[in-house]
Amino acid sequence: MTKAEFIQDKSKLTVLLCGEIDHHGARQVRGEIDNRILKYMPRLVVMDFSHVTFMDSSGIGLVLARSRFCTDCGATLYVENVDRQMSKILSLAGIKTIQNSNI
Amino acid sequence: MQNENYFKISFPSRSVNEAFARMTVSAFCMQFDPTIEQLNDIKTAVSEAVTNCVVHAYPDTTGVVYITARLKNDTLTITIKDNGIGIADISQAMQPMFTTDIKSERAGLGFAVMLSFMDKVKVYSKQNKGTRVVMTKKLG
Repeated sequence: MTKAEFIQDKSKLTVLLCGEIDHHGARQVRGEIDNRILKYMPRLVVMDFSHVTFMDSSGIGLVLARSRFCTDCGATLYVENVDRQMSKILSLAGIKTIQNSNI
Repeated sequence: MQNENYFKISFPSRSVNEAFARMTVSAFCMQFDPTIEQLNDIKTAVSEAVTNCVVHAYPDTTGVVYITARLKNDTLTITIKDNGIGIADISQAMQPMFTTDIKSERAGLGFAVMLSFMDKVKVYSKQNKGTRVVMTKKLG
């Protein structure tokens, strides 16, 4: 089961992704994430992968599409707390990530 | 031979089975004592190949996906097969960022992931007959 939890702090929206991100799971959460971005209109969106237990290339699609959506909404997207395996996948698409940062 | 084993499964091309497929292959591999990284690489490659069957092989229908995994002399061979629409141009399909699925959020990196996480990936396809992906990885 893939889930997204949201933490709103002033102009920062943290999206805490939980579970497995594959083609099936990504479809379950992407609409919900976009709706929250539209609702809160944050300046900064952080996708936190610390509770993700598996990810394939669907994670790339999920991040890239949210990145475009954030740009359209005037927000910046950061990807945070990815493990080595996820980093290997995201790097195939040239996505740079932040490890354990405190933005 | 003691160090030789295999399994075969088939299941409908529903997206909920992507997780089932990679976990089944992962469970099979456990007996050969892989590293966590090897196991993650295999799970990811299987997930990509099965997703291709769900999204591309059977775009408007639900078909059958067949998986065979075999371990012989420390080499794991996974075959993922479908009887779907096939691939018109295999070398184009395997190019990074190429995708025919523009309406959803596919990055076109499925084969790129398989190629970088497995030792060898071979793709055989015939239009309107189906596709077979054969991937190998040395364990141990």
